[in-house]
Amino acid sequence: MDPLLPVLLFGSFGLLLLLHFPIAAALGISSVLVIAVFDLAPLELVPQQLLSATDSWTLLAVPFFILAGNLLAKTAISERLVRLARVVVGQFPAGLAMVAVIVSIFFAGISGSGPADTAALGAILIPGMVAAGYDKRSAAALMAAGGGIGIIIPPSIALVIYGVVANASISKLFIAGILPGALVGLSLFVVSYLLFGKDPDIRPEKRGSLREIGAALRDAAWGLLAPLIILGGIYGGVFTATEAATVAVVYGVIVGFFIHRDLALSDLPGILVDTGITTGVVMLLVCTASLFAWVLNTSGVAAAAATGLMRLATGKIVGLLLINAVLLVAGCFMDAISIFYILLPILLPVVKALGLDLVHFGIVMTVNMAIGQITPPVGVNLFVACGIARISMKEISRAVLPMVAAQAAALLVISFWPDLSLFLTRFMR
Amino acid sequence: MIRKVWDNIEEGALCLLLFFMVTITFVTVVTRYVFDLPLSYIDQLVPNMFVWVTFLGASAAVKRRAHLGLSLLYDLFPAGGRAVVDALILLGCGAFFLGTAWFGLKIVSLQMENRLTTSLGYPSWFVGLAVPVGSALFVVRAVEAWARHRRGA
Repeated sequence: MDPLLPVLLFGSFGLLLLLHFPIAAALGISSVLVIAVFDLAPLELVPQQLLSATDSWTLLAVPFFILAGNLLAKTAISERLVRLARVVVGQFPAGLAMVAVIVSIFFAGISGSGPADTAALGAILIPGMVAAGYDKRSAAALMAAGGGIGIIIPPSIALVIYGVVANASISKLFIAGILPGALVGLSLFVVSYLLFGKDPDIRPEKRGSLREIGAALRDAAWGLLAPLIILGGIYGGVFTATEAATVAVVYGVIVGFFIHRDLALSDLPGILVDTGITTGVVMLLVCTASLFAWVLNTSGVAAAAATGLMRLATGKIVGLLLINAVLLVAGCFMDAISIFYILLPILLPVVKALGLDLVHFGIVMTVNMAIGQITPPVGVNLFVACGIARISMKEISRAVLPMVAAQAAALLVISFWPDLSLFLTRFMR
Repeated sequence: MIRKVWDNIEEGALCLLLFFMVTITFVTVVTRYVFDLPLSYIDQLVPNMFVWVTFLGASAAVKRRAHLGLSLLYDLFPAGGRAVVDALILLGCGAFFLGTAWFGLKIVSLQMENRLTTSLGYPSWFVGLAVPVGSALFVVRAVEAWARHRRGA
C-alpha cells in the first residue's frame, strides 16, 4: 500500500468536512479521488457501489421505521405519554425532568431516530419545563440526551445499519439494546435529581388522583402498546426487523386514522414526503460511506489500521477503553452512519481478536453514537433542542456536560458487563 | 403550474413510491404468515423502488438543506469567505454527482443494450436509472438553492 493513499483519503475527507461540505458528498469525493489517483478500479464502480448499497431488503427497515415514527408522532402519542407520566411521577422532586426521561425511554420504543425523538418530545417538554421553573439550557440539554436513548432502545436505525455492516443479527441487536437503553435512562435520572432535585425555583407538580391516572392510562394505551407489538414479534421470532417495521407502519395508520382519529388523509402526503427526505439523507450517507468503506478495504488501509490498533490493544480492558475513546472522539465530528461504515472495517478484526461478542459490541458502539449525538460540534440532537429552546449551540454545549458525563458512566458499565446486553437475547427463539 | 410541478417532482414521486413499497411489503407479510404463501418473487421489486427513494429523497433534501455538515469553521468565516466556500461546495458536489450521473448512464446504456431483465420481468435499467436521474437532480437543486441564496432569499 502506498503510504500516500491514507493521507489523501483521510486528508481530503477532513478538509472537505471542515469546509462545510455535506458529509455524504465529502465521503464520496474523497473516495473517488483515491480511486482515480491510485487506479483502484474503473470509475463505473462508483455508481454501481452507490446503487448496491441501497438495493437492500434489510435496509428497508430504515424508511419503514422512519415512516412509523412520523405517523405515530403526528397522532399526538407523545402528548398522551407525557400526560400519563406527569400524573404518575410529576409530584416527586425534579418531577418533570423524571417525566422527560421516562417518556424518552418509552418513545424510544416507537421511534428509531435520536433527532426525531428530541423534536417530538422536546416540543412539548422544553416549554413545559421552562414554565415550571427549570433552567432553559438544562431542560434543552436533558431532552437532547433523552433523544439519544432512541437509537439504543429498539427499533433503532443505528442498530439496523450496524447489523448490516457487521453482519450481525438485527433481531438480536434489537433485543440486546433494551436493558442498556434503560441503564442510560437511569443515568439521566441520577443527573436530573442532582441538577434539579433541590432547585428552589422549580414548582412541584400537582399529585394526580387515581381517577386521573386511570384516564391518562387509557388515553396512552395505544402508544404504550406500540413497542410491545414491534418487539414482541421480533422477540418471538415471528418477524424480521423489516417486517416488524411494516407492521409498525400499519399499526400507526390504524391508530392514527381509526382509533385516535388525529390523522386526516390530507396529512398523508406530508408525512410520506418527510419520510422520503429523511430516508434520502440517511441512505445517501449509507451509499457514499459504503463506497468509502470499499476503498478502505480494497486499498488495505483498513487491515493496516487494524493491525496497528491491535498492537496497542493488549487486552480486553485496554482494547475496549481504547475503542471507546476513538468512538467518542469520532462521534464529536461525524454522524453515526459514517462512523459505522468508516470505522467498522478497522474495528471488526480487533473486536474479533479480543474475543468480544458482535452483538454486545454493537450495543457498545451504538451507546457511543448516542453520546455522539449530544457532543458538539456535530451533535444532531443538540441542533434540534437548540432550535426548540431558541438558545445557542454554545449555551447548550455547556449545559449538556453533566448528561455526557452520566452517559459515559453508563457506557463504561455497558462495555464491561456484556451480560447486561446479552441476557435477554438468550431467551429468543 | 409547470413551475409548481417542476419544484415538486421528487416529492410527488416519493409519496407514490413509499405508498406502494409499504403496501406491497405488508401484503407479502400477510400472505407469508397468514396464508403461508410466500410471494418471494416480489422481494426484489421493493428494494428496487427503495433505490429510487434514496436518490430522489437525497435530491429533495437539498431543497430543505437537510444534508448534514460540519459548520464549525464555516460559522467563523466572514460573509465574503462564506460566499467563496459556498461556490467551492457547489463545484465539488456538482463535479461528484455529475460524474456519478455520467458513469451511471454508461451502465444503464449497457443494461439496455444487453436487454437485461429482473426476475419480475421489468428491465434492469429501471433500477440503474435512479442513480443518474437522482444525481443530476441533486446538482440541479443545489444550483437552484445556491442561486436563491445569492439573491438573498
